Amino acid sequence: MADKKNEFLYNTAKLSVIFGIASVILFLVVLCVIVDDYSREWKKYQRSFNKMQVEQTKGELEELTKKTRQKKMARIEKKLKEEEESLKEQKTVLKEKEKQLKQLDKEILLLDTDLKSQQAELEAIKYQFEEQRAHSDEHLVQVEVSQESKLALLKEELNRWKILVGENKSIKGELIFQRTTLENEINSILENKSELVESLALMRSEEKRVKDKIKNLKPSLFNAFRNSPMFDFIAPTLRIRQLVMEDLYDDLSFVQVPKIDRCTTCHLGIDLKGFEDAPQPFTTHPNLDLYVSSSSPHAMETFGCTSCHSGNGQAIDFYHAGHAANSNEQAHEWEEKYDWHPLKHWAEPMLPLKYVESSCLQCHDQQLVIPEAVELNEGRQLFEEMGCVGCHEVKGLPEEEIRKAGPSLKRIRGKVDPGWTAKWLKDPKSFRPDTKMPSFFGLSNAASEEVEDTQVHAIVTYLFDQSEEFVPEEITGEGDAEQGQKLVKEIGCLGCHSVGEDKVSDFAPNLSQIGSKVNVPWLVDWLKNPKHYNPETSMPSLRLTDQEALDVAAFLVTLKNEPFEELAEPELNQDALEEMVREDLREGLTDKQVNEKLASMSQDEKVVYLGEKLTNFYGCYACHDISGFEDATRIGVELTHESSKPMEQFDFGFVDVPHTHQSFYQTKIKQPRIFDQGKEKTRKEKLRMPQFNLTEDQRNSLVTYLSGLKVNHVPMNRLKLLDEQERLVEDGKRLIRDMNCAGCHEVDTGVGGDIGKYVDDSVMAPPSIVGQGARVQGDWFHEFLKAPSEIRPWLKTRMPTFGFTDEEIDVIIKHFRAEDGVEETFSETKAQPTEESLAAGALLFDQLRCIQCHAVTEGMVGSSGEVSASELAPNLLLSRDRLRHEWIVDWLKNPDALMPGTGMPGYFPDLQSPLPDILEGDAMKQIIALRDYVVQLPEENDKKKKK
Amino acid sequence: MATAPKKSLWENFRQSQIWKSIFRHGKPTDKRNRSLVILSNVFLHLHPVTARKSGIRISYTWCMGGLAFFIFLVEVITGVLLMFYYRPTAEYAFSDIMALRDHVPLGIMREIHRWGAHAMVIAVWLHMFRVFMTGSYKPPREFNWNIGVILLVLTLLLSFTGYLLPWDQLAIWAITVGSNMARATPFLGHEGPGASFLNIAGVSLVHSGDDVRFALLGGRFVGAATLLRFYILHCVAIPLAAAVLMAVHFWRIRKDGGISTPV
Amino acid sequence: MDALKNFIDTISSPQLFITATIIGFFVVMHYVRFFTKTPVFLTFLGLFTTFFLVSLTDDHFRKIVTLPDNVPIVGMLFLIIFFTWFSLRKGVDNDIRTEKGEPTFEKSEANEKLFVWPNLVYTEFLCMILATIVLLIWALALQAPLEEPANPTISPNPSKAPWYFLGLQEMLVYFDPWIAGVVLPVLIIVGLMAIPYLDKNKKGNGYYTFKERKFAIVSFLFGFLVLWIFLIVIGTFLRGPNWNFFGPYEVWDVHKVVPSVNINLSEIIFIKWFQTAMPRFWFTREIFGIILVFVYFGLIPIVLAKTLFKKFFMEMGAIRYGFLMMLLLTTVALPIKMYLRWLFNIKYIVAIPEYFFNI
Repeated sequence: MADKKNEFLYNTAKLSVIFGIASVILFLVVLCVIVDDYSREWKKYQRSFNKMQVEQTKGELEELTKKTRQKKMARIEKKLKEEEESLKEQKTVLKEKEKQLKQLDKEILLLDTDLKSQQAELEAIKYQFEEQRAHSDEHLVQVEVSQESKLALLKEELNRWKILVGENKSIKGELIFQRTTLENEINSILENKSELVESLALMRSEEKRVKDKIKNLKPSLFNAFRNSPMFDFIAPTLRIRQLVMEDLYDDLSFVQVPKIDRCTTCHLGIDLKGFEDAPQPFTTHPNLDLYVSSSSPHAMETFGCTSCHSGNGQAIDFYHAGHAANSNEQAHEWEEKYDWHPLKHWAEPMLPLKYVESSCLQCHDQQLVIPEAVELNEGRQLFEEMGCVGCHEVKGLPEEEIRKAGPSLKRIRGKVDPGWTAKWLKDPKSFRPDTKMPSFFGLSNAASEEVEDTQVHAIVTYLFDQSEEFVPEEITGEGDAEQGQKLVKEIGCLGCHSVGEDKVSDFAPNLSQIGSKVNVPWLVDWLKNPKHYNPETSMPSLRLTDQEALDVAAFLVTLKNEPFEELAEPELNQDALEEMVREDLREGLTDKQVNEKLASMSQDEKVVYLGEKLTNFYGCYACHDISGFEDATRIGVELTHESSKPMEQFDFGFVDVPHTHQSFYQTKIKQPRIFDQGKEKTRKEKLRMPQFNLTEDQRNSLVTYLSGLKVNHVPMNRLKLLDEQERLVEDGKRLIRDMNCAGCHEVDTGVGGDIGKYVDDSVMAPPSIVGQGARVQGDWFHEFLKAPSEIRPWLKTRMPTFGFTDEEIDVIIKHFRAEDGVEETFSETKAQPTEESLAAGALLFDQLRCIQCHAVTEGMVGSSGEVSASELAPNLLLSRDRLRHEWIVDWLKNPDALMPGTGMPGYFPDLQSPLPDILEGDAMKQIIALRDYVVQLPEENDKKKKK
Repeated sequence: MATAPKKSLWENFRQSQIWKSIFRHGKPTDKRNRSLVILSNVFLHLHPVTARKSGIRISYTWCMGGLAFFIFLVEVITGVLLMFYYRPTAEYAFSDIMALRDHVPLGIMREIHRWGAHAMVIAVWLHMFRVFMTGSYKPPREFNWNIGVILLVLTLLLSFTGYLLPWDQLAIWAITVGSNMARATPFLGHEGPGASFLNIAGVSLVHSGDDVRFALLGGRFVGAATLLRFYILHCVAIPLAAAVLMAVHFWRIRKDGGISTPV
Repeated sequence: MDALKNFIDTISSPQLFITATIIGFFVVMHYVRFFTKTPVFLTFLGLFTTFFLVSLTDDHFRKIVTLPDNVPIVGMLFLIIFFTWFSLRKGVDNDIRTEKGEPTFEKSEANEKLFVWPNLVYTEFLCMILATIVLLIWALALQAPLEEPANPTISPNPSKAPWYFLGLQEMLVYFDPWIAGVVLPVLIIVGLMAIPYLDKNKKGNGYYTFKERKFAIVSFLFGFLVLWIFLIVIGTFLRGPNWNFFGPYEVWDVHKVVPSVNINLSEIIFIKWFQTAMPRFWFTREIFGIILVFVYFGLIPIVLAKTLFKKFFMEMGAIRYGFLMMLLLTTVALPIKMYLRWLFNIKYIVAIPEYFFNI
């Protein structure tokens, strides 16, 4: 029994075999774990980057060791040797001085040690003395004698020590002075020698630094050890690089986590120059002076990468970081290279590069035009101009400043006839292909042609029913079309409108088919005074005379769109009408009541009722003023935080597109009704966003803007807050954009002034208003904008009367002055001419023959008759009130700087006076004298008149 | 006198005082040492010195109990390692787990811990299944069976509380669904039957602010308080309870006559 | 191929699938000797594995099954199948031996004692190493899931409880939360604890058997295999968004609308049968339901005690018998409730929402 116990249950030999195999497998598996943990994607990138850096630094090294540098080094060494020979003779003197130096050091040292102990004694005594004194003061009353004498004794002791320490200190000072003089002498002897040595050392250290850098990066046994698994925690060369931002946070669904971006672990060359054409992920960031480099306004250390590119900054592999392809090709390429697929389970993947500008909105939303953010600016402008803001609310946009996208329909009856309007409403593009008016009908989820025609008919009937009467002003006379055509080309209509092929800007409607739209009486009245028909119109008046208005009208009416005119008008379908009216009535009424109501309504009442309901349904009031809909609410969804909305809340229906914000916007804008595809919906439930026919880049910029509409987590101190000056500039920008000043004037260097191309000579084109704030006086500018007066009589294009309100003019003036940094003062600084400068001014005025181009008396155009148009210049009488007096000085100094390409010659090239004899040839004095003379011209002129 | 045969270094070391103080027995090749090796080691003495043959067969016990205990130890070790990197607050929980996935060295501990958890639940069920099929719950082992059932519940609770810690959508909603059942507890849940009876002078004693679900979650919804509460349960409370009960469980196995064999 | 898939999708509707499983369970229990034969088991296992591997080619099935958290459930399923067969097979072998008069395997070795070192310790050590290997390979192969950061405002559809509670979550479809969420788990735990005290059968202690403990094994396996493991499998693989039922190859479409208008027993009785308005007072409204429940829990045990379970009643005594019957009736109540739902669209037998009390 007992020995049976020794028996084995299982044959241990077999067990040992299993044990052997199992432990080998276990060992291998543990090895796999370590290797798997060690082989990280980013290490691969860091190794290849190291190789690239080694090549680059080798290149640097070659430069350093180039022949030229080598020769230079040899020369320095030769000079150094000569220097050493010359020093030999002075060797004895040198040695002597060094000996003295040592001696002095010894003495100073000795003195120092005694001084220290004496100092300590002094302090001790001082303490006792102070203590004693304080003690004795306290009990002034019963001061015993012994304490008095003790105090005196201590005082005496204290003085003794003070004297002793004072003496030693002065001796020490003396010795130190001697030492420094001696030292200077030695240095002066060795001076140029040490200089040479230094420059040599500098060159060598430069080489050494580069060599060290290579050594550190080059794969070597030691580097391999530093990066080997299990030892790579000591000092690895391959390591994770991260940027920790203190006051920027990532939002992980309602929880603020400090932002840590580890993108630079793979994007190693992002902030280094010299890797511009390196393959991704090492390419340098474009325009380093604006982004990423520590000196730029968006330094990487304080902004991180995800604040602009979004995505998951903390992750360090290609997939989890949330890279988003910029196009389908890139997506395919990534699928092969990194087996990438769109990041699942992450709210904000990275923005595709073409939309990255949307992140500027987080900090810069106070600026209407954000520098360098071209796509975003265009997107924002489109969002307002196309009328999106009419249906979709975006909090933060200045509601009252945004104008309605379309013309007012309050008096439509006076302008167009119902037939045209119906055909237009049904398909605006058939009348005017590049119109901004979107098409509501004939889209993918349209019910049927009859129903849609009935709807168009009903809306038009309702519009004409609610429209007020409008009787244009009666102007009789015959218009001459050629004259009209010439006028249209010259007086400035092309600044905003385009006629036929002449297209400057699409700010205002294209007039190539206006003839088939409006009637002549309305057109003439409108041209004379647009505000008579629509008080809020932004169309200015060009102060046309009756005849001119008739001519222009006669010409415009000849521009027709025949095919549009032949189109059949959409008719009413009776039962479609009944059905729709019944549907609208059914809300709130029982069927019985609906039938009664329907029976009681006449045909017109039905059509008008339906028309009103449809105007509300399609939201026509979003872009047009329609009486009765002044405060109707917006029909579109609010977009303030649209791009922070989780993807679950976007209904992609049966459309197979990637489920990202950007692809939803692109698809929706391209085909607004597409998400109704394959769904069973009643008329009222159907999507109703109209089709805008934007071009590809318009869509991209609009989507860039929409992608920027996010919940903003940027703390206040990181926002781009505008200071007083910038605030004024921004306010004016919107008004200047809405009035399309850029159509005629050059608003910014290289921006605007497009009408110039219709004029053969730049002098005949409207002047550039760059720097207008510094040029003109505030009051003059105010009057001019209210009622433009004539400055350049030979100009054909007229400055229109915009009918600005005083606040608007104030905003514009402040804008220009703030832009040029002109402080707000109550009165302009006037020039105080002295007799002497006036006389000199007159003399200069004659000698420089200013009269040749500038008129000096009213009405005179260039005194010397036939002068080529290009030499004509404004009448100088206006200068006193028009131009700012400091500006005239700057202008005379260098006209081309202020207005490049101006006809005015520069008389004082880099401030050298051409007439040395007047005012001792001092150019500045001469310029001021000239300015004083010009400024007092009106007085002189009055004096002449009185005589 | 023939010189004594030169002993190898290893044998000398085996005779040294150090070795002997640790291993109080010779090579376990003979009976005496085989019993000493068990008796002199607290961990090995989990087992008796000798056991009945049928009880040792792996085809009988499937080694499920042993596996469950072993995986529990793996869970403890990997759990402690994870605790170095995990902060149970709403802000950091998720990013710490993401860090474990991405850049923390040997971040695979998280995978081992999670799959170990699933494995332990399965091992415990199979252990119960084997104990039932072999009738090992019959007297005298009824009490030990009950200890086992409690340990089963504790394992499920361990896994349940651990499920929330990564603080991602999967976690928060699994726990929300799991804890929603608690509000329907009779009398103790605010939406359970009988809760409306428990009110004095119109003041309902059981409402959503103090019922059993509120106690479980530390709030009316799964929030940061729940995360902390579950963290403490998962790392300290339940493992301790489980450890104690395991001790009792092992003790009872030995006291009730070792692995059950036909009587 | 699609026809086959659609066919499988249709037959895997809950009614058919669960009925087939219950029937299959009892058939296997009845002919256990046949089914535990190795070739029979191996063919079944082979069929099941081929079915599993073939359906892996269907990308929706693969998407669900290879979810990191669902892989352990597939593993568990295979383990459960194997160990059920293994234990039943040993039980059947022992029964055959006892019928022949020979001692069972365990009996024959019962009194031989062996040293624990190396026998037990060595095998345990090996099990530990193998377990570590499995864990490490599993950890290497599958990455633990990490979805979006927790967002209390967006609830994913479907949001499922951890996998081991999916059986209970499945019961939520048929029962009121207080039963499915609280009463059933408590009864499961109490039931498990009560087993040693309810099972007076001396035989089967310490060795595999089937015949000697038929009733205990069948009832336990029914509870464990069918109502726990099987419902977990359904809850994991076949329950999709809005907790709608989806076939194994059916794509989980959030918009799927399944017409299921369930009405309470009281509505059927008063509106359908009596065609009268529902009484206001809850007691009169639910009187029939209450009676039914009392009959079920009260009358049936008494009747059975007199007839079928007479022997049990005598052996166990009134209290034990009553407790056992309560447990058994509750276990059986689950399938009954399912059939009431599928056949008659009955939602609650007793519906007293005023007090959140519904059965």
